[in-house]
Amino acid sequence: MNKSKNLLWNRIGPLLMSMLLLLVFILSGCSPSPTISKSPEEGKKDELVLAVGMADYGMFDPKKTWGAIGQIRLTHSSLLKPTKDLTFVGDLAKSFETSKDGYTWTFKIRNDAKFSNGDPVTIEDVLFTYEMLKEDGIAFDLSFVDKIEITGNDTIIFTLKEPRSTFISQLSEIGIVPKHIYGDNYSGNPIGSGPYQVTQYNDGEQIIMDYNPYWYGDEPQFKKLTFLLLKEDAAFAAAKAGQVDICYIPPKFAGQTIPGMTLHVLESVDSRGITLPVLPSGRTGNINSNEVQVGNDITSHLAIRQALNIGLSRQGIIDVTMDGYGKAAYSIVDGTPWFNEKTVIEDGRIEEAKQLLADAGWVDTNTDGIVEKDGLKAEFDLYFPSNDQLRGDIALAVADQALGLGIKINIMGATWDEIFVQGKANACLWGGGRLHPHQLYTMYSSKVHNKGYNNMTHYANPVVDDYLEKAMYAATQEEANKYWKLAQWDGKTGFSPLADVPIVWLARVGHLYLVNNKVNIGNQLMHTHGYEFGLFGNITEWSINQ
Amino acid sequence: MSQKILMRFLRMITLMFGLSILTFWLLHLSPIDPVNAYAVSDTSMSQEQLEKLKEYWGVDKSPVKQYFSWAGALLRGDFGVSKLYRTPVINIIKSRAMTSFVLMGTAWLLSGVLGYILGAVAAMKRGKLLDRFIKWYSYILVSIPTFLLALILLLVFAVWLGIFPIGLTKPIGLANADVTLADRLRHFILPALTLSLLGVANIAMHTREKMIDILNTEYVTFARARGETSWQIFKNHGFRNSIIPAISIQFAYFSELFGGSVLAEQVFAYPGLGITLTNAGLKGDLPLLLGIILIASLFVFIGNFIADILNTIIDPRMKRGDIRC
Repeated sequence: MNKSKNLLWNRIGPLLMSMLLLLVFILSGCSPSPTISKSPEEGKKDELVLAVGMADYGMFDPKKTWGAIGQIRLTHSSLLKPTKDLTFVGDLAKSFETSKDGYTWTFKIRNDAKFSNGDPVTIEDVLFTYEMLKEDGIAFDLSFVDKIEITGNDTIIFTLKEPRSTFISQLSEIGIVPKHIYGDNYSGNPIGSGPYQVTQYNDGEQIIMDYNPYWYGDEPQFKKLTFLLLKEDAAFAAAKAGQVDICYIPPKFAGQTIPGMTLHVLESVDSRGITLPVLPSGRTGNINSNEVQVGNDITSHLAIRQALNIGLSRQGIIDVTMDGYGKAAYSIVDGTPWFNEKTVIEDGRIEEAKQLLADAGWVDTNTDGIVEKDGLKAEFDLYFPSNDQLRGDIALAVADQALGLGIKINIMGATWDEIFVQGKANACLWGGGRLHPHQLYTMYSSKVHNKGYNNMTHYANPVVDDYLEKAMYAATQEEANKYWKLAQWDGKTGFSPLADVPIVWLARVGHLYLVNNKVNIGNQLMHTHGYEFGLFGNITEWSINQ
Repeated sequence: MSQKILMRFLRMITLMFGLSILTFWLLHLSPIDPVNAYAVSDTSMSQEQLEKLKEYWGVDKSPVKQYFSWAGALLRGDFGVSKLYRTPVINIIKSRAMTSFVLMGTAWLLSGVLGYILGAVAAMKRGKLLDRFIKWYSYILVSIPTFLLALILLLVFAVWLGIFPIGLTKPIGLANADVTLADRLRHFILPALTLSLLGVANIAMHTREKMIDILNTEYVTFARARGETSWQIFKNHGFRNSIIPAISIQFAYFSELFGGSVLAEQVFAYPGLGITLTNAGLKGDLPLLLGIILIASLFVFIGNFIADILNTIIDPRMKRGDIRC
């Protein structure tokens, strides 16, 4: 037996040894080859490696929604752009004006802008881009545009079917594409007029962007950007391996430190809240053209909504669910020029909330800890998308705190498809937040009842409707902002925490990035719902820390 | 033989046909509404946008009509255009299939060979330390989710030791033209290793069981009585008898490999068909989903076909028709 053992080993041994040797050979033979083309320690740093998520969303083509979450500032230019204080100024447009009645928008474009292939950006390109997207009609809503005309070689005039001050959102999000190059394969050859050009796109791996020498704005310090398309865990591992300069991280990783990198907590308008149907049950309506139940017998009571609004501790929820990396939210537009700052309230007032419920007739008669009124128990379902951990955590924290107020909330993890069936008859953990006020209209106007996924709570207040219309008809941003604020609270009514609260907004999620200590990411623009791109709004201002 | 191949070919055609109908029907029954899936990222979409979106996805047409327009195009060699990526399906598959198949093929081969060796050794050394170690190793591996193993390997080899890159198929920021074969190989090792390590457990345990059965047979006892060494027993009796089930299992395992590769691909940002397949399924991108499923099943079918041929070569009884596979 002993002999046979040796024989077996004699036969298999060399095989195993040779495999081992092969492995060692592969390891040693390859490791000296350069893995990273940059080295932070050497000389002048003009490249960045970024792991900020699925940065290829939209694949550089406005028709595939490139731009809708603020990506375009890297690769394209648009007629308008937002500034840090969120006023909208010309980018490609050197001047623009809106007619008094709000129907006609006129832009004169600059004549020094060029695409990354050297061709000038002409008024024809602008016209082509908008007409192409209007025709497509999916990525950007331009259905309210009646006609687009050009006069001379630098003027474009949009005539709208109805006034719409929030047109600024499309104007600042639609990247202009070259008419003579654009085609079905534009993603493979995305020529734009932004500070960078996409020089290589490895689908599912990385995007390499190089400085566009024809860029008409300030020359960026960093001439090459490499975006790694890594998920959170892998991105963090890459940062730990010292291979990236900027890495996005979820709050659960925020406690960990990486030498040479600093945690940046960036302010966002990326808000989370709970929608509370304002109508009693027994009606039907539509979500995305499907007939669904509308209304909820508990949340339709103002006292219940208000009790949650003043009783829940927003900071408490942020501490529990985001490790404190967030800010309390009182609307979906906190921190913007169209946010009514008077509507910030003090919350966590448990006793007052209980009193408010008691005054409205909600009393705990059977001592089960839950209040009742007319035999109706203050209990309702709160839906959240089960694949979204943050929303799940927030739902749990809300339910936990609500119990202390005598309100029982059952949290229901579901798919979006189910949420879009249950959403109008139950509470939902909702989210949003953009650099323009249009969501105020789609979430609170009664004109959009049963349209798409708008106004989930079926909120309707004639006074608010009036302000919202006036805001849409406004010819200037200042005037529009005035009405957006009045719609939130005019001293008597509104949809803010001071009045109707159809949606109790809870928190703005802080956007967390680990940034190489050598890199200065400047004074950031407000970040929006959707993680990846808020960071790059001011890319041309980024610099090296000395 | 040629008649057999022809029959197989016909069977493949009908399989593809049935499979496409089944997939189509299942996706139709699934609660996933592609319009919802698309709109999740922007719930402020206007009704006009949604109408256009529905028209674009073709969900306003009857499923039968949708199927025939898809199948008709396919017969002309047109896989259609992915709704999600707005790119011809065949381009997406082409760009990703090679990566995927090389990755899965290597993992499959490595795990098969290693797994078989480990299983055979474990059975020959039944009850000894080596056997216990192999068993322990296999049990741990089958219970580890792929993505966890991938992350652990990533952490150990890429972060702590720094011998392998953190992912991707090529170096960060390097132009395609400058990427060498050595670069690709280095990036290939970790994902391939992850998949191989996981595949080992399955085949090792099956081989071990089969080999133990063989070692308990009378002919092996007789061989031992004749004074054959362990190696001779393995060579003369064990190998041929245990390799056939091993091959069949390994070829059947191919479909599972697809599932595992999805997760490994995701962790290593190693773009292959796996990620694309899940995306297509979750977002209801019918043309893309059908395209990948057809290609993948073709692959699995060919795999099984090869297994049959190999078995025929190895086991003369099959050739004679004594037993049918």
